[in-house]
Amino acid sequence: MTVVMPEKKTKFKYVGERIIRPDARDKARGKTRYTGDIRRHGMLYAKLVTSRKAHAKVTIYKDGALEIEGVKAVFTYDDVPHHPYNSNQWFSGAVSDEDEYILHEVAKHVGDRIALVVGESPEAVDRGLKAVKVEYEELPVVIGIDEAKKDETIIFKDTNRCFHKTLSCGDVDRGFEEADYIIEDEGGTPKIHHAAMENHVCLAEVDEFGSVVVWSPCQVVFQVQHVIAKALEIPYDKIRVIKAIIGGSFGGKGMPVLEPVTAFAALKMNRPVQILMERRDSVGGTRMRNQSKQKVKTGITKDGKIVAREIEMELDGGAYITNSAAIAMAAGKKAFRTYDIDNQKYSGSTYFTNTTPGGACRGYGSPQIHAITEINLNNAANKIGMDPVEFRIKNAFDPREFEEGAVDQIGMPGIGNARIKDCLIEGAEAFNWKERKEKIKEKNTERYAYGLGLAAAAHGNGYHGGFPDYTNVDIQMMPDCRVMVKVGIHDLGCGTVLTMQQIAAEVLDIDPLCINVPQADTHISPYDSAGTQASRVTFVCGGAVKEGADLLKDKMLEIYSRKFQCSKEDITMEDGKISCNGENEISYGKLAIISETDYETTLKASTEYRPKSNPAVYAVSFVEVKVDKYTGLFEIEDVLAVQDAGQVINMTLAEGQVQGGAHMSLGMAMCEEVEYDKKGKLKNENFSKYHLINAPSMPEVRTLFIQKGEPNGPFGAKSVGEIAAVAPGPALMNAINDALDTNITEYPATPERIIKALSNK
Amino acid sequence: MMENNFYSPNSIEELVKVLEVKKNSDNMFFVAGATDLAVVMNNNKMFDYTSVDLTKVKEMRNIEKKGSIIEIGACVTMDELDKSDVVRKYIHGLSQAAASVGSTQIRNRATVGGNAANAAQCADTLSALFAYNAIAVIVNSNGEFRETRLEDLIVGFGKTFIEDNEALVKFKVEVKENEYSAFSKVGSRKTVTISKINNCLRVIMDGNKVVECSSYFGSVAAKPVESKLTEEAILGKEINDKLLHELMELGSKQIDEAIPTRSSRHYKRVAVKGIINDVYDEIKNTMEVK
Repeated sequence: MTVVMPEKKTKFKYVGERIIRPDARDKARGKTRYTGDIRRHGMLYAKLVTSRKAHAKVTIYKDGALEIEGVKAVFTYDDVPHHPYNSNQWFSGAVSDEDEYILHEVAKHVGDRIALVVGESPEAVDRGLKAVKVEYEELPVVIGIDEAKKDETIIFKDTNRCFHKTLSCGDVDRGFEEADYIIEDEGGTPKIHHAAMENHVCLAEVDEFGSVVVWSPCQVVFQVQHVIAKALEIPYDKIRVIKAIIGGSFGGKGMPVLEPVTAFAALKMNRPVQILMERRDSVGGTRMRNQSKQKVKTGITKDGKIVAREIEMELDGGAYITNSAAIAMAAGKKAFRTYDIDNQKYSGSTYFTNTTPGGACRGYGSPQIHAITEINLNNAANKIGMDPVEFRIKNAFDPREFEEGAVDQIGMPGIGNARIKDCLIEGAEAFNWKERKEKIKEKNTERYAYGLGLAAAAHGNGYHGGFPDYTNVDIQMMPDCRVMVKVGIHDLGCGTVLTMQQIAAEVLDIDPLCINVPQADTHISPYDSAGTQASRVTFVCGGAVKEGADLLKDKMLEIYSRKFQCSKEDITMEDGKISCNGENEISYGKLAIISETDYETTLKASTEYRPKSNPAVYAVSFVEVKVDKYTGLFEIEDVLAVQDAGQVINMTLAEGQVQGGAHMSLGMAMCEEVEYDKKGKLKNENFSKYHLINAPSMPEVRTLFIQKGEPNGPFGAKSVGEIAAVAPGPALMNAINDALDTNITEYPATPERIIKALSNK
Repeated sequence: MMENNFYSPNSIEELVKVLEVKKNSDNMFFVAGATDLAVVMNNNKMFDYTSVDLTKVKEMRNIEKKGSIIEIGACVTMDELDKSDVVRKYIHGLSQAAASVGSTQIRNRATVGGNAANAAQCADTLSALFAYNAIAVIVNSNGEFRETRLEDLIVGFGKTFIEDNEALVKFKVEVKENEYSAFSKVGSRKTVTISKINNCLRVIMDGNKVVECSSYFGSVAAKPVESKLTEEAILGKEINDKLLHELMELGSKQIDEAIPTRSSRHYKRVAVKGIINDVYDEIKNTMEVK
């Protein structure tokens, strides 16, 4: 197998640099205007009435609310169009059943949309909400995967099993026959709330051309446009969606929840309407990470080679179809991209339940698939007395070919310049794994037990190989030396805009802050097929911006060489100035003017970029933990997060992503879990009971980036943000199990679970 | 469309006048730190109500040592309790309890009177105040004062024997020579957490022997409960590791008896050992420092 390394450029001018994001100052000072801060002339406020019952036919009495001064309207199922839609459809060709309406007459989960109160002030709306009378005709409730599987109460169509598919390679039965040992584990991961600081919010108004304009802190403007078009049956071109400044998403604002109903209300009232959710509804009434129950069976040889693995994944899809198919598939694919296992079978099923619908949540299936498999791998290594780092190195993938058309074991795009082994080797060294492993137990006291753990994880770089993945870029040099880049990007707080600026700046050799990259607007941005999801933005949109900038650069060279009669090879572009052998130096802006006046052409370029591959990206985390055997509480003493990043575009942003990702992943292992009672009521629908790791308990996250370049990524870059939120959690679980000599496989490791595991020893 | 009234008495005298109004009103609330009320208001979407700001009543704001009695105004904040030299020195367990309440922001506003009057099952300062047999001082709409054991005033689960025309103004805590105390709690995380169980232990030493002792566990019943078992086990003993292990086992037994049927028993019977260990170590350390 030949591995062709990308052209090695050690020093870039802008790529990799710690440039401070221009919006940081305003955000830190509270000056940034989020959607909830916008006030339009004549704007009305609105709030959803959300169901307090998990499954019930609702009857809504509006009269009380309508009598309240300032309440302008109350809408229910009877008032809205009845065109079913699936909020997960991010492009028009998406094939999936459609089971959602703008407002529902049968509530299928606590938090479901059943009415909308519109008023002149937030207070009038709140008073109206309180005065709306809801009568529930309760239906049987399905909570949890086990209950759903019984199919006693069916939530949609003829079975609660909403999706099922098997992926496999090799011959699993034969593989297990060859195994010296078989290690089996069962476990689960919880429903997770994204906990963006900004609750869900949307603003819509009808403009002077009769289009409905929607400001939404969303992830895919063209998805919002598509879903509104479906739900309201109005023309796509009459729906203008503007990506508003966002206060965090993490996948939670991926599917439109408020957008169709806000657009409906604005059209109906013919006034701007703003809906701002409270935390309770952001938790229960939007989307959540799918809960999972898993069985993992791994066959290994005496010398530590994995010869077969079987994974059974059951996911709780919640009350509506949404991402049921995508999440099961996405989780499964990653099982074939981390370790080189010849015989492997994955079966994924998603079930309906009367709980909050599932949705993207930073990692899309990766946090689930690696949660139990990585614990199981540690158990396998322990079985043969092998160091878990060595065991992983022995089984991890080597870098593969990345030629166009290369595929992995299940026919998905090839894994590319996969650097999982580098992460393991360099990470173990940086963490001083071997020495610490030998000495860790010396720290133990009667009350406290210490442990070390690690975990590895894989993720992707876009949709290529699965769904349409391409993006359009228009890039233009302005007469004043500024550059306008039109591309449908959505900065979710990760620094996407600055990433694009640095990529374009590297190509054009110009100050990144002279480059304007407005965020997505369906009426301004050229079409993008998939939005800010699937870890595609740096790899795909960044690749597109690079290609656009390359084309613009070609055109600049072309125009300049014609004007000054010199060969392109002799032209130098540097710091916004273009010259030929030190002569005829002009600014890029001047060249734009020459282009227009002398050659009747705009100094711009356009491209429709398609990524040539969808390589894997890897992360490995190392954790030391100190567990209190009395209270079951623990402290994370040290975390090292190692990332196979290809090439970091902005080191400060990348570190921020890895540290934030660690916070979310560790949270899933430590305390984050949305719980429902038997009747489907959420037990923790706000932050007094839904606990994230808070500052005093959050360790400093050390980072290490492996930068060996990805051939088809812009300057070698690949994804960071999602993969960062996968490995620390299982590493922590492994550390806890190492400390206590337990096998806790239910996330999170709450004090109760830890004490129970200790008591059962 | 709405009527919201607001009173802000500056003295007990003025407070008495407000109490006269309050006794005939059904939607009038005392506000000190508002850390409990604000949550209730948000959850219940309360719009029309009257509030009485107690924080301007100067008699309710002080911590004062009068001989062996320490008086603590009901509007003293958790942060003030935590940082008061007097409280730290003489009622150590109470300052620790105050320091463990909520977040920094909450402690800047939440008051000890509010913590008591709100009578939550998990109110951290109650365990400490009970362990010191604190006396509550109450004023009514006639300007009459009454004093009662705080433990007798609190019913728990949000209920107290404070009448509609009464207000809790201060606490009196008697402190003694060679007295030590400590508080610890365990919640679902280390900080900004609600007690699943907490403990305040108070001992008086004569030489190296314990001659008086009280121990209260919070969050296991409607209000903190006295652990007679622990108290008996400690009296007359020396503070050493053997006693600690005995106490930890007793703690588990105590939980088994307090909540025999609740599913949380399995966790709490072990976790209790951790907090007993904490308070024990703290008391031991304070003795050594002295």
